[in-house]
Amino acid sequence: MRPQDDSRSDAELLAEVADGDRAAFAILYQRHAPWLVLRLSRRCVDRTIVDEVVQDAFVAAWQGAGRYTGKGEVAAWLWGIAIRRLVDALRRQPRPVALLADMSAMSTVVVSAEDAVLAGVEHGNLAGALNRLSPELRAVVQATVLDGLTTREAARLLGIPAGTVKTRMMRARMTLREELA
Amino acid sequence: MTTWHIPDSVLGGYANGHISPAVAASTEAHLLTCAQCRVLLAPIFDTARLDRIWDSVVQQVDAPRAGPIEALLLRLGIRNDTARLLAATPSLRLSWLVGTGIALLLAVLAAQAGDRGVVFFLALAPVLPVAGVALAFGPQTDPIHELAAAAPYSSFRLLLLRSVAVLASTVLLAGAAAAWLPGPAWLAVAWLLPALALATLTLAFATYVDIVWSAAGLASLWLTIALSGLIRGRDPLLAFQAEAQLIFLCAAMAAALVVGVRRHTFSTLGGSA
Repeated sequence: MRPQDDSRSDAELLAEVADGDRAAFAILYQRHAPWLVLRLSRRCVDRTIVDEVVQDAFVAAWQGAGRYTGKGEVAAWLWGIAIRRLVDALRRQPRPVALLADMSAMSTVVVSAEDAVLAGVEHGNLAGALNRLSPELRAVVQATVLDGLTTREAARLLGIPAGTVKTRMMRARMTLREELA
Repeated sequence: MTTWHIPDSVLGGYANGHISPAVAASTEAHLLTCAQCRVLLAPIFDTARLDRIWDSVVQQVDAPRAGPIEALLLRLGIRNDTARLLAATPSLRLSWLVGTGIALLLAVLAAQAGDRGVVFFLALAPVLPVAGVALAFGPQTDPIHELAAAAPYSSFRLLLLRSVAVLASTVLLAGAAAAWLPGPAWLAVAWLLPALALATLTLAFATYVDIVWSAAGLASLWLTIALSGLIRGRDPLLAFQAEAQLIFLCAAMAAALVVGVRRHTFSTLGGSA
C-alpha cells in the first residue's frame, strides 16, 4: 500500500498507534521515514548511525505515541524525537564522527542560479546573509534555530563546548544583524 | 496550508546535497508542515534501506521487554547475553529474593528475643546463599536449562557468574537485615565467612555429587553445628567465635581450590559429571 492511499491524517494514525495498531504504524513509517533519513543524513554522514537513529526514533514513537498531545505537526514531533536520538547516539560515540555533514560540505557546493531562483527564497537578504555565514556559525544557527535544540544539545551534536555554542550564536546574530541593517 | 510547494529541482538537490544552506533550511521548514512534498521525497529514496530499518523497528517492538532484574543488569553495563542468562537464574527471580527477604526479616525479629534468637539468625543467613546457588543449577528448576546447556557458553563460567550473582544478592539482603541485630557489632558480620565457606564447599562437593545433594548435606551439617550451641550449658555463639571463623576461612579457600582444579567436571550443568 502506498502511504498517500490512506486518507487518515497523521494525528489520527498516531492515535491508532497509541492503541497498538501496527498497520497505522506502518503507514506512518512509510510517510515519515524517507524525509527523516534525508534530514538526519544532512547532520551526520555515518549511514549506520542515521539508520539506527531512525530505528530508535520509530521504536520510541511506537512506545510513546500516547504522549503526543495533538498540538503541532506529527512530523515536527517525530523530528524532535529523532534529532535528540541523534544527539544521544553521537554522545555514545568514542570520537566525534564527522558532523557538519551539511554545513561544511554544503559551502563548497556551487549552487546553480536556476535552483536558487526556483526556490524562491534566494531573493531576500536573509538567505544571502545565511549563506555567507562561516560554516561553524551556520551549524550553530541550524542546530538551535532550525532543529530546535537547546544550547547543551547543540553542543553535544556538534561536539563543541556549550560556551562555544553560545558565543558562536552571538557572533552569528551580530553578523546577520549587520548584513540585514 | 500554503499552496506553495518545493520545486522538483530543489527537492532533488535537497536529497543529494547540492543546495545552498538557506534553501535547504527553507526546504526543511516546509517539509515539516507539508505532507504533499514529503510524499514527493519518498520515490527518490532507496527502498531497500527503508525496508531494512523497518524490519529492525518491528523486531525491536516485538522483542520481549527485559524484566526488572535484566534491565538493572543491562543498566550496570553487563552484556546482553550474560544479563539474559543471569536474569533467568531461578534464585535471582523476584519471588526468590522476596522469599529470602521475608525469611531474614523473621530471623531478625526472632533475634530481638535474645541470644538464642541471634543464633537462629546467624545459622539461617549462611544457608540462604547455599540454597540459592543450588537452586540456580538444578535442572529441575532452571527454566532455560536445556538452552543454557546447549549455549556456546562455558558451563563453568556460567556457574561462576550465577554463583557470584546469587551470593552477592543474598549477602546484600542478609547484610541489610543484620544491621538490626542486637548485641555487639561483630555479630552483624559473623555469618559472612560461614556463608562464603558453605557456598564454596557446596560447589566443591558438586564436582563429586549432584549439587542439590551437596547443598542439602552441607546445609544440614551446618545447621547441626550452628544450632548445637543452643544446648543448655554451652556458649550459644561457639560456632561464630574467632577460632571458628578462621576454620571457615580455610575451608572456603580449600573449597575454592578444589573448584578451580576440578572445573572440568562442570561440563554438564547440574553439578556431577
